[in-house]
Amino acid sequence: MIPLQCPPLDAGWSRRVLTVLALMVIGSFVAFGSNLKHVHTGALVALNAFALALCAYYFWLLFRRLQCSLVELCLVIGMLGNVEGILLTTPSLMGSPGMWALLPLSAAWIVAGAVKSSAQCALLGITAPLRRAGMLLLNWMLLASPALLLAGGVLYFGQHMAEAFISRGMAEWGFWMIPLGALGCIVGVMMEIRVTRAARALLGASAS
Amino acid sequence: MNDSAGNLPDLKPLAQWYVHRWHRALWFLPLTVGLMGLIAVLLVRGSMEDPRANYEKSRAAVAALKRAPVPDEQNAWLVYERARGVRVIWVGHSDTDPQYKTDGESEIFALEDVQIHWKDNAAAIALLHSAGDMSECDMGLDQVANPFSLPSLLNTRECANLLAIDARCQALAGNHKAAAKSLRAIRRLARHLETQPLLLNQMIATSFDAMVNEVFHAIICFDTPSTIDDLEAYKHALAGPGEPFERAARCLKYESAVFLYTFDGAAAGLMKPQTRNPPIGMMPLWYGSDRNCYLGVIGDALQSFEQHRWPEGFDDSIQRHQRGPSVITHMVGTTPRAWLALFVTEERARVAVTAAAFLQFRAKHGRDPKDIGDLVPTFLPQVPMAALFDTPVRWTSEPLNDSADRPYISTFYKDRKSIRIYTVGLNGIDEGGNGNYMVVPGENEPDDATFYIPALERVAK
Repeated sequence: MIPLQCPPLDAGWSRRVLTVLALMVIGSFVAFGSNLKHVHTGALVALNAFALALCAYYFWLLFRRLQCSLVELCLVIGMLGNVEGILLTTPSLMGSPGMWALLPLSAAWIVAGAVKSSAQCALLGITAPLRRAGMLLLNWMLLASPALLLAGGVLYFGQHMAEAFISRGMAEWGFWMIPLGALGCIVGVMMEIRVTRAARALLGASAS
Repeated sequence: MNDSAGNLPDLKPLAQWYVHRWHRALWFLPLTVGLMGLIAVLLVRGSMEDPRANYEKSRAAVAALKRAPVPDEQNAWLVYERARGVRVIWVGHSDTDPQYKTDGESEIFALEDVQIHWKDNAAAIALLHSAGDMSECDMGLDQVANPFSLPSLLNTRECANLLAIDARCQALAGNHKAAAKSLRAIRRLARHLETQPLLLNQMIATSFDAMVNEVFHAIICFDTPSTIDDLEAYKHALAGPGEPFERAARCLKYESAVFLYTFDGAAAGLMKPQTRNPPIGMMPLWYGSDRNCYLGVIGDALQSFEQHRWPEGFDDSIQRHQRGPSVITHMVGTTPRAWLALFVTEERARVAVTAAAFLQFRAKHGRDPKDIGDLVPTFLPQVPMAALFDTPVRWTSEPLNDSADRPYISTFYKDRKSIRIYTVGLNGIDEGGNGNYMVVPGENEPDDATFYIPALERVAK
């Protein structure tokens, strides 16, 4: 990981724009909670705008402000190709405009994982390509673990209440997603503590 | 890009970016929602299908159901429409409206208003009789252009009511052959509805068959026919359509073809309700698994009907075929009650015919038969069997203390002895002719399909 210059990694306004868009997504659900049609339209517009902005932000960080090894680049390209390819080749998915947000959101997840992994490697002093690749995979998992935990909970515990929507097979998947997501969350918190401590030490040393 | 990252002189901007994470924590919420959507897609992806490709096939399947056009002079539907045109509607008080009393006591049909109403409708009734004699019926509906198009079922129901009024008035006047002719015309109307065997049409046809059984039941109570010829006429009119399994299978095939056409069209956005409508905006996620589950459940039911057995548990069938969300299939899972009604009505038609034969035996010999076998071959070609189980129709004269049967039956037989001719019903248990007047009885209620006739002592008095 190589920060090329000393100025701040990103511009403050870009973070604010993204935060406003994220709030709009949350707001669209809260404001139109009783009207499915408005939730559908509002969430579609806000989520797509947010997802595209998030993609742009992380892509810019990854390719303009950071550098990664060839192994990591290959992994990012491979993951992007697979996930986007799966979505694009899923029958009937393109028939639903609401699903379009999934494409930029999944791309944002992959690039955000790559950015976070690069940052953690730099702060922890990890330089070996294979270890950096491992960190990349771990970060994708950690970013997805709350979603895994929540989705697993909904599938496993919601099956009895909504068996028309959740089959038994889906509930069985949910059973395994819960511990996996919980483990990911725990590891994620531990990793955050460790990296934050390293970052603060670095900031403290530079201030002194 | 480096093959490996080296040591860097200044990590301060990076450390600052990493420590200031509160913005990113907020972004994480919608991202997590999106990732949950991604997980959902990955889970159900294997069962997702392209509705446009299916739509072409299902459209062709519905187009193949279209019957050859029927010449106007042979088309019973046009005669039914003419009858509706000349029908005179009831203008009297709603309390004495005879169309709601056709399975009740006879007094109402003796009222002057009712007699006038009946005579005013003579032309319409004559047309309905002539329509009943016709073999072809074409409602002129195009399922491809409008998949669930139906005739005016209310008008059709009023035609059946008019025939039922005629049957009761004729029976009251002692013209039992004419009454039997009207009952037969109701049966024919039901069969004509079945020429387009959508589920709703089938249910209405079943209700007409049930109406015939009930009107005859009331006639036996209040205007009992006594001659062998009159009873013979009723017996012919009452003979049910038979083949309940075949009729159920035919209806299921037709209904499922039309349903799939509509479902595919809606998912492909080619037919209302379109996918842009919010409630089914997520349809692509569950369309494929739902369609396959529906096909599996219908396939199981069809197989059972074709093997002449009742489908074993629709809920189990859904569980067996469900691979993902199956919203529509769970809704369709309620239709077994429609098939139950079809079988219950068929059972009741069989016991009604047996009752007519029983009364013929009594009229000829002045006594009751020892068992149903005594009716064969003079009054019945063979011992009638239940529709669902391979068991013969039975009869009993044992008193019934606590009957949950029709209100007019309970009132009529309160101080009278009765004979009950019955089949074991859908639960297969002989409950001594204890039935329930509901079309489809509750799960733990006695469900023998029962027909009451007055005991011989009563007639002798």
